[in-house]
Amino acid sequence: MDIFNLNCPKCSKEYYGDVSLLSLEVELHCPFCGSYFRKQEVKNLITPGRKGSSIVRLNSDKTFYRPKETKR
Amino acid sequence: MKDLRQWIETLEREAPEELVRVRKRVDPNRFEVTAVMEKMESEKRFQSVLFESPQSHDHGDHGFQLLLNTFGTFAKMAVALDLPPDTSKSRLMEEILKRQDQEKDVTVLAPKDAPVKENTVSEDAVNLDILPMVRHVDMDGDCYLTPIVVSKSPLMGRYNVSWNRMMYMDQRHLAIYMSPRHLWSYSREAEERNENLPVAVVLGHHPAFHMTGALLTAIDRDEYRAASSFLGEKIRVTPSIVYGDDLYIPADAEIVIEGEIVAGKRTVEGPFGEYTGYSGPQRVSWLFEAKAINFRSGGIIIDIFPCKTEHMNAHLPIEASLLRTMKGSVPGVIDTSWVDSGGPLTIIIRMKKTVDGEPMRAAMAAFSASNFIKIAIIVDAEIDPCNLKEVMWAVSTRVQPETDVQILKNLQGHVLDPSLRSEINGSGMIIDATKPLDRPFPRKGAVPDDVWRKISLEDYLSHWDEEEDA
Repeated sequence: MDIFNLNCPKCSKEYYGDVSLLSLEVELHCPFCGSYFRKQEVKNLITPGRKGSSIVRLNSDKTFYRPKETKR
Repeated sequence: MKDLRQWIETLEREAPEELVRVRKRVDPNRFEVTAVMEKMESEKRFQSVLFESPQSHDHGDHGFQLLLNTFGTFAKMAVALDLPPDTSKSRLMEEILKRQDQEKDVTVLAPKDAPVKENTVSEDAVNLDILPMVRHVDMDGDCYLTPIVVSKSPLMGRYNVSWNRMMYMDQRHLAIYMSPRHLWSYSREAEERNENLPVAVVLGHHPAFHMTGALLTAIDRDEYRAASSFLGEKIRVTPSIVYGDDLYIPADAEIVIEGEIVAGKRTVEGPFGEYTGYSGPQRVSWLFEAKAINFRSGGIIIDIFPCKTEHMNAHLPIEASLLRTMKGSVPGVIDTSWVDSGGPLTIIIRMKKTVDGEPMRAAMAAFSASNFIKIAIIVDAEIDPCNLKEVMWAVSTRVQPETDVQILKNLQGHVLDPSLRSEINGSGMIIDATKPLDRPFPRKGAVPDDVWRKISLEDYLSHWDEEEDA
């Protein structure tokens, strides 16, 4: 089964779970600090569809440049 | 009467090098136990380790002990089946199959005569924190037990014996993960009737009993009777505290937790370092509620370190069943390498091919017998399936991928396979690395046999050494 990656909102450590968990209203459990939290509290949830490109190495630590002036 | 203590005594007498005792106090909840085991494995040491003073989950000492690497070598498994420690793997598999064929009954003991009932706690006194529980690898969701779970079909009354991982939740609850096999189907039957499923969680018994949990037994065969066959004597069972005669528990076990898989409840469980060598992802599992604990003083918990050699070895009864199934289909099949192939989902099949197409049939038999198999490599009789260098030589030189590699689609995969993209639907691969029979094929280069036999290296190399010395 595909998995998602996340960083615990409490201790920031990374772990993963089965993507089917994301479709449920359950609290996730951090294996490192033991805290329970909801997926909405997670800032950088990486799911298979959201992983982006391995070529341009698109992941959550990248920021996007936006031109200062609006283009016509 | 066979139990875990009798096996330890026999092992210490017949193969003393196979077991070590650790008297030092250890904390299994802080990876101390598995760090010892991992260091030993890195040094190719596979002795059983009896930790005599592990800290319990409540940080106390309730006298329980932990045994790891019970299945670390075939020698220990041979002793479990009353064979000499130097028994070969193929002989061990023969014995496993022979015992599987025997029909033996069970003996029901009165609770007062059952060793496991030396101590009992029930109702509000139940507290799982008295047990030492092991956290195996860094990402494990919590501490785990790796017990044998005994269950009874709500419809047929048949007993099932299976290996399941159980994660600590609180003093009375564990999460239990079930692959879609017999226990899973019993749980489903009970849940459809809106009933909990009573089960007995067996934490330590004779290793032959634990091996029963890895049998590919038909759904109509009672697995307490299969356990008797494996033990080589009638297994002794006794009524449980909570369910009485409706659920028998093994009388000679070290520790048995009685409880129920709760209908309509699920919980978040994992990650868990599984036999595939990976930390499997956190997932939804079932909830077990403990109702009573039976235990012997000084009770010994068998724990399996799932990412390691002993977990694969414990699958030997499955490999034996696969071999039998393949031989039934293609008699030319000689032997296999699965638990020792290095690939938890890969089997190597050695056979004497008589017509082309037989390797495919042999592989298909393995695929149909178990969803543990994802890749099958078939080699000729002169290739040792346990020698991966020889196997790779055959694959490299006898395989044309276009014709000799087959991909099977829409197979039931193994839920623990990290490469699966869907929940259970997977694919398989058959690599036929046997020589073709329908055309001439080159021979392996070798010096003539008659010359080979005449040559003694000492006649040549010792002369050379003398000249060097001069």
